[in-house]
Amino acid sequence: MAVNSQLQWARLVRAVSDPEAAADSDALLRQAVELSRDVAPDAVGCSVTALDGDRFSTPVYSGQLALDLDRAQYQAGDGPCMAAAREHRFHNFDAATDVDRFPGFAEAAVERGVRSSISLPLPLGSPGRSAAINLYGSSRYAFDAERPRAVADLLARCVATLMSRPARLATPDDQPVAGLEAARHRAWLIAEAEDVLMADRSLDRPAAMGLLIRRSRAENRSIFEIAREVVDNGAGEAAL
Amino acid sequence: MTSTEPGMSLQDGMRLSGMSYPELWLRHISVSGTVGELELEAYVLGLLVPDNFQHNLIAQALNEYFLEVGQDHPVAYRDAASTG
Repeated sequence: MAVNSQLQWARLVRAVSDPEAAADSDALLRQAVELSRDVAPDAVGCSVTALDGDRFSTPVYSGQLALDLDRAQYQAGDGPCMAAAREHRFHNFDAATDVDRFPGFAEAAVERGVRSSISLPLPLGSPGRSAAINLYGSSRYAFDAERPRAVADLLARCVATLMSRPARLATPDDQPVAGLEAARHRAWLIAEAEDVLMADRSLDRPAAMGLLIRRSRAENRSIFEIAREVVDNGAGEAAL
Repeated sequence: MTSTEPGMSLQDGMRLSGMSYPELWLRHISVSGTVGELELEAYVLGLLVPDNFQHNLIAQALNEYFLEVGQDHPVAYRDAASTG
């Protein structure tokens, strides 16, 4: 992974994760479609298809190829990206076998050297408005492996969050994440154990956590059992 | 200099666990992790490179799952000696 890509991914996921972050959403969307190059080695284009009412448009795209292929679908009246936005479901396209399903798009794709595509619906949480992200590949099955699918899914959620701001900012009606309170209780136990180790051994927090991890590995026991013992009984020699 | 000990990568551990990313994120929070779900996912997929401490927290979160199913810390830590 190139350093430049890592910086762009870092900027994207942090901006998406922090609703308060002052960020240029349009610039981040452009960056997100450029990051489609990391989805799969044969990814050659990426676009976002938006559907407002009955009108399709492509508000953001990685290059001319992606824009042309989106427009070819709008002209033909059908295609995987339109279907994904309209039906809110994933669409996979293989130029060799799906000619009959989307003939207009298939022809345009093959002319441009595109052999496969995937379109993922974007959950915008806004009635009357839907969208999909489209990835175009130069080989058959370019996005069929597990990792390309996982990266495409992550990219889709980032784009959906950016497109739906500020509508998706937290509201009092939002449901709390199931299990989060229990997870935080366990984290407090770890923090307490770290405090004991830091005081006893003059360590910083990462080093104290390192001790807990090492003991968990050495004894093949859960780190939470180790932390409970440290909190209840003090650091002791066994924590070393 | 960073070195990874023998064992599974984060990505392989995630795949073999069959966990969802939200579940891993909760486990990560449990072991005192602080990053958001999307960032965690990017680390596991190799899109971002975690520092040693962050890597080891994610490895521990995965290994806590494997401990529950009777396996002994199959996911590799990174420079574990230096974190303590």
